[in-house]
Amino acid sequence: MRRGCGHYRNGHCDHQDKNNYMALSDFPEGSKCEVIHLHGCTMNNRLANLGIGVGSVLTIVQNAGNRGPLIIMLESTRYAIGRGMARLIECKKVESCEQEND
Amino acid sequence: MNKKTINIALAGNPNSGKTTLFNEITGTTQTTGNWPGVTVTKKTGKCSYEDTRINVTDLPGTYSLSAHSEDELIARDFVVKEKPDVVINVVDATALSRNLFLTIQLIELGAPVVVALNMTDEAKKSQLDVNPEMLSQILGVPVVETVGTCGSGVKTLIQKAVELAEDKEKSCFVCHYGADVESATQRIQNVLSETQVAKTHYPLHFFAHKLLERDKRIEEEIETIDHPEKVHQIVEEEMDKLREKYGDDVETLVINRRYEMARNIAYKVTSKIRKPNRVTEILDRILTNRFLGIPIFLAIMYGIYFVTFTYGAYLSDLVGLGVEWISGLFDSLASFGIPAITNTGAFLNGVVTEGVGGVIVFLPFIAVLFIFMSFLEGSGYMARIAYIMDGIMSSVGLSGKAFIPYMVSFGCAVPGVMAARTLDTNRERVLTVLTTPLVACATRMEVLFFLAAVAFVSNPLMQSLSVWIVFALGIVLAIVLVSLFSRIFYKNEKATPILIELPPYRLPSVKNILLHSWNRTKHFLEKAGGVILFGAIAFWILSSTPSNILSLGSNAVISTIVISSLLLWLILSNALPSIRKRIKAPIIKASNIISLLTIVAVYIIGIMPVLPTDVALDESIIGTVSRGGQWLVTPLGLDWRALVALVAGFVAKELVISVFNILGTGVGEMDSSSTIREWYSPQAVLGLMIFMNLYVPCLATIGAIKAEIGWKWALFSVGYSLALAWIVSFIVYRVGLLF
Repeated sequence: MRRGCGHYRNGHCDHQDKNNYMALSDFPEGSKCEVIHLHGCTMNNRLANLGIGVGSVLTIVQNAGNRGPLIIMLESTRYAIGRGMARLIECKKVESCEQEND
Repeated sequence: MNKKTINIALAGNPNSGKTTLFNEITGTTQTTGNWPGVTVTKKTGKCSYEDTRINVTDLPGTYSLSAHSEDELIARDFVVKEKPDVVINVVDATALSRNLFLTIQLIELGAPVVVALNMTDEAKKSQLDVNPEMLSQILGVPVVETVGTCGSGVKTLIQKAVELAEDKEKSCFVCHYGADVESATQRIQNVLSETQVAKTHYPLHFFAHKLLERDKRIEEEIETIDHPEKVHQIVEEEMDKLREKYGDDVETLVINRRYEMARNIAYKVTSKIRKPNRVTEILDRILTNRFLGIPIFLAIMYGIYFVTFTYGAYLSDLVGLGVEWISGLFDSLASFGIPAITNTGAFLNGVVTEGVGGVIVFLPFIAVLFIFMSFLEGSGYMARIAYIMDGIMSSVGLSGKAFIPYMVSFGCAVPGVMAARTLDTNRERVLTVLTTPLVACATRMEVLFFLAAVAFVSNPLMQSLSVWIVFALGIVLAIVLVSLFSRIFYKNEKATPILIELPPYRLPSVKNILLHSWNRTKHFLEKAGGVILFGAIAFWILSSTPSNILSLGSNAVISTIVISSLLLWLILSNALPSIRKRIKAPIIKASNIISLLTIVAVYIIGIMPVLPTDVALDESIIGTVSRGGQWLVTPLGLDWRALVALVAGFVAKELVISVFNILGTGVGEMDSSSTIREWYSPQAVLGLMIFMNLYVPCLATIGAIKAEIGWKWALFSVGYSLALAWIVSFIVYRVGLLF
């Protein structure tokens, strides 16, 4: 009865072709991005409870590149987020001159 | 005078300062800390306001009313099912929108809410102004500014809560989810109103929202009604409608709309400028650096143990002087030349100075260790450790969050086992609960210090190094075993990725650190006067009574039976949490005193008169029985005396020290260290240290494991840890012999 949830393919975002759209895990340290889409359903509620959902603007505080969890900042709160989860969060780059408060 | 009684619950996001406020309100000293998930059980306290008596319940933190982990479930069930008269919603002013998300849900649930706008001092520091009047207007509930750490605003908070309990005025705040969601909610509500659900305590629209959020526990409740498929059908129809319009994000549609609302409110009531937290930024750059993170963590831990060992030793010597002085007093009793008094002196010396005093001598180590632990817990570093250790932990199939219970276990394994409640899946909880006891707790550190001082008497470096090795070995084995157990018991399940809030670094107040360390040290003092004292008495009697008790006459036999059953009761009632919970504390205390007096009386009347002087240890009850099992430890280079110590350590680890001390005095020396060196080689003592650290910590821990994950796992934990302890210490001893 229940439908699947999301284009969950190989554990990675599948919108890579679109420019500027990347997985959260691919953003370099110090950059800002806006969440466009969440893939995979089990984690959505956990993220949503922290206020991370479509439209949230996240700052990447730490990203070791290819392994280990990331540290992100939403408003002024820091979160550690597993890389596996960050791969499923599709984001758009936000120019740093733009303000968080929109 | 007829006083009214009302029930208040403290609810809020993790790490929003609920327990700090709770301590201020009730005057208690419950553990607080700066990481999400310090409180995992509900705790109750009392206070009064004018002529109203107030029962206050402190709940574990939760981000929402859809529970994901065990601790969140406790909080949610209390608010939903127990229906407290007032819910004080503790809100972290520095993360307003996330905190208001829960506030909205509490209001939707129909709970009478007072908002405690907490940490306003920190908000002001980062130039963040929150307007409490405006917030109160928007939400339709009282809002009180508080600073938990200095207790400001607490009085007003209680006043508002009492007023609200009298008025029962409900908030008229309504969260708008948009026309489409509302119509879906309405339809689900209609079908729900025809079922038994209508009679439960939930408001129907709350129930309907939760169904749209696919809340697992609510779905389970639907299964219990007569025709769940009717409800399912309507829910799926409405979900499909929404899905056509919004795509796959429909699962979080309700949540996101609610979040938008929370964000809007937060935006309206706060100033727009916010100064970034430079201290946190800089510290995070260093402490969570991808190369430096783990080395810094190890250095901090080694530093803590090094300082504890060095400075704890000075303090310990001071306490030792006191204990020796008391021992001298008891010894002087012998000079009276009356056998009964001499015997009493020997008994007091054995039980009080050797048994209990020998343990208290090591309390300064624990106190120093707790000062450092309290600092770490209050600083905000704990959550970073979860981040740093995530790499290692995820390689064995746990998230870094599972390392927090390990950290808590440095203090005591019981809260360590309970801390596993914050983990997201059952698999993670079981694996963590099974392995946390391998991390050396403060008590086992005491015993390790004791044994290390014995084994490497002339080598202070080896003393601290050997403790460190045993300690590190415990953690390494814990991690290895997680991987093993995960493969055996949970073949196809994967690790859940880490997701944890990293709170800003804070400098814990000196008062808080001292209070916490004293609180924890006090617990060990109480233990020394309880289970350790009784254990020491039991052991002393067993070791001074000959095994051929039947030859002493029927009086002695009956007395022995009476004494041993009383002692068994004393030890169990003081060591087992499950018994302690069922019986009130004053009754336990009374039973302690009465049983203790009875034991002494029965011993003096029934056994003393017929007791031959100078019973050789080998021929005592304990000697005879334990020599029968000596073969168990001979391969480890140990003998029956160590076996007795290990069996006693099953009840509480401090008893290892008591047993060695009491056995050691038989040779005629106050200091047992020289005697242990006569009995065993240094390699064997190192093996003993490892054995001691790896097998079951104490009865209380087994009780906690049983309470968390059930009897079967508790028994498994006992079994595997004994086997592991034996094997590892055998290997270390045999390898050690080669050098």
